[in-house]
Amino acid sequence: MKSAHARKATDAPKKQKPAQTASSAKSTSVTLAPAPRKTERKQAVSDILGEIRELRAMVTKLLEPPPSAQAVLEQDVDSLRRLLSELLEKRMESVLNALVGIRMLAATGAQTDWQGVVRRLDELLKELGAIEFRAERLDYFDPLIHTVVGERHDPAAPDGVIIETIRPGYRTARGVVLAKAAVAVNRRK
Amino acid sequence: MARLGIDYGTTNTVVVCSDRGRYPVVPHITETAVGPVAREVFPSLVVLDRETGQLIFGSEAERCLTRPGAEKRYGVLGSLKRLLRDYADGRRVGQSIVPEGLDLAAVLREFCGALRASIMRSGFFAENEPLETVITWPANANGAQRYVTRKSFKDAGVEILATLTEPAASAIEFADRLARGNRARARQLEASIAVFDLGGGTFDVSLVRIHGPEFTVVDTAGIEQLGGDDFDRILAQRLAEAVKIDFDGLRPFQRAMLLLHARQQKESISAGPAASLTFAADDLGLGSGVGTVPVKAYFKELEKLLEPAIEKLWSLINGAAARSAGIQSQDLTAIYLVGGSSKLPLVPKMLARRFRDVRLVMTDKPFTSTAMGAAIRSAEGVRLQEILSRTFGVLRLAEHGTRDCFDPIFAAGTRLPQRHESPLRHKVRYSPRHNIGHLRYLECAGVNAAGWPSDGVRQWSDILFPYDPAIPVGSRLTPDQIVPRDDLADQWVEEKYICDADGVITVTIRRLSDGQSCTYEIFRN
Repeated sequence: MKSAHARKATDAPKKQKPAQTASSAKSTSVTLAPAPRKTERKQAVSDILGEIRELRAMVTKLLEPPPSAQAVLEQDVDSLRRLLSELLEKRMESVLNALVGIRMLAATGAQTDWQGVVRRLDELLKELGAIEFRAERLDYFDPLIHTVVGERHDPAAPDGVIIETIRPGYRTARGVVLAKAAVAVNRRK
Repeated sequence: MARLGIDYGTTNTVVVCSDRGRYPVVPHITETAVGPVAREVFPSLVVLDRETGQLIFGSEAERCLTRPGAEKRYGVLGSLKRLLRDYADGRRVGQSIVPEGLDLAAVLREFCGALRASIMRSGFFAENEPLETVITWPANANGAQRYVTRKSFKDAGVEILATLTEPAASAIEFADRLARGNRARARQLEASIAVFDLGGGTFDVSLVRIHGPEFTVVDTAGIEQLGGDDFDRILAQRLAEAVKIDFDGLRPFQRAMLLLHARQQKESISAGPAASLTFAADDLGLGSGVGTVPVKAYFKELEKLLEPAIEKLWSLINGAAARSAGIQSQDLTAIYLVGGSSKLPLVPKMLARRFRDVRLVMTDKPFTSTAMGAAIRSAEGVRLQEILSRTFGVLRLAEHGTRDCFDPIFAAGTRLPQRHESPLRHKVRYSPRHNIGHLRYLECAGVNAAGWPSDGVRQWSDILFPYDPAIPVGSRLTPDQIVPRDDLADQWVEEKYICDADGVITVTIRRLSDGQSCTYEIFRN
């Protein structure tokens, strides 16, 4: 911290001593304690001024011409649509989780009509507004919508491109990805 | 006019808007092969396209890293927010991706611009609708970080209504959650909480008293270099060892990709129980081995990193500020855990072990809690009282230049003014003993018993000001021009310090003899 040139300088506030440096900060109006009366008064005035400003802002807002009924309605519809989408997304997510679980069970080959259950869940998802999507063969891998679950070796295809969609992905009309499409990508040996 | 809360995080940035008492997260839309995709987060990742020289941000930056030939074409500038701690005017970063580096302030300004454009694309706002925002930063953020963050947002066309610290924003969100959005209930709320904010790059802890719509930050502490980034690095190193790869020997791009993989693996622990974490070297083109790291061994390493954070919380709850505010650990309503990294099961486990008599509350929105608090602040009549988390002062020479002394100008714990209040002021007058004044400013987290900066010391601007009226103010000066001048003893010099509501400090030095003065922005450095 110290340097040769710094040693030469001696300019400091008058009466300044190391022990006084801390107290010099205390003597100003910037610290909390011990606060002289004048500071308290200043603070009180400042608080009152703040309150007055807030009140003024409130009054100004009240005096503003009200927005047109059409604008309010549009805003409400917009808000409701957003709220509805959020609620639907939550429902979709639970249905989707059930679907994934049942698909896994179905893969075990148990003697139940799993296909029927899967079909019904698929229909429910569609009704709720979930949009199924798949990756196209030779598409580039996109971390926003794909997840790699396997590899394929196709010497004719470029390295890293998608060879197969193993499980479809789902998204909502708002664009929220509920499940990424599980894909197998090409690895050229 | 749209009112927003923005949480600029190390890993992700989240924006929440205020919509008549509701606080929806603003989605960030990206065009993909299956149509537009919306995400709640805007990744804080910055990637340089070497071919075009353009910077790419957010989800688009993440996507381009998986494209063929990415290593050759793109350079990754990781954790921009962490670099802000060492901001200085003209500071260049990212020399590993481009030899001449990139101007730090310019990169952040472009990032803010890209974020603003993404907000406008969300469909939530009308075209050209002005955005009024409340932005957040770590409680432990130093002056330079505050200065450059605020400036970059402003330069990108984002109007700033107010700023607040991340734990304070989470406290506001917590109170809203306690009141369940009911304003009458919110007005009667009485609580004292400790916010434990473990994010991607920083750790902050604040003790906040809630008295209806009034929030008072009683005390605050933090660790600058503790967060998810450090956890990712440890895991990436262990995964590399497991497949017999030297992590430090990897090329920057490979290292960045391995860190991203480690982050995904770490997040999988938060999502559900896992016994081990795996890494197939082939996935990143690093060979053919498959390695695993037991979660237990990984957590053991993290415990060592987290212990100082738990200790900080302990000291804060049992500290002098808490005592003088009449807060004891048994009076605490809760320890509120926020930040993406607090989702790791190890974190609440360690806290529960240390604080047996305090209720732990895990947020259900670890990524959006801070932005939501900021959005509530932007819209509701919340009154927040924040404090300076670091002491700001100047090194002077005392006893005729025989030794240095530290003169604290604004001490840590000083109440910060509200935006509508006048800023903090501090005035010093003295008669000089040299022709040129050499003022060395610094910030620190603590001052020891001898009055010397002791913790987290960061040195800012060295200012050379001509005390001698014969030297015009604004002249180019060097320290070796300083000579003793006893004949200047009858001259007077005045230093006026101003600390604004965001804790950003400016100083005006004036020669009272001829009235010449100069104003310096300290943290511009």
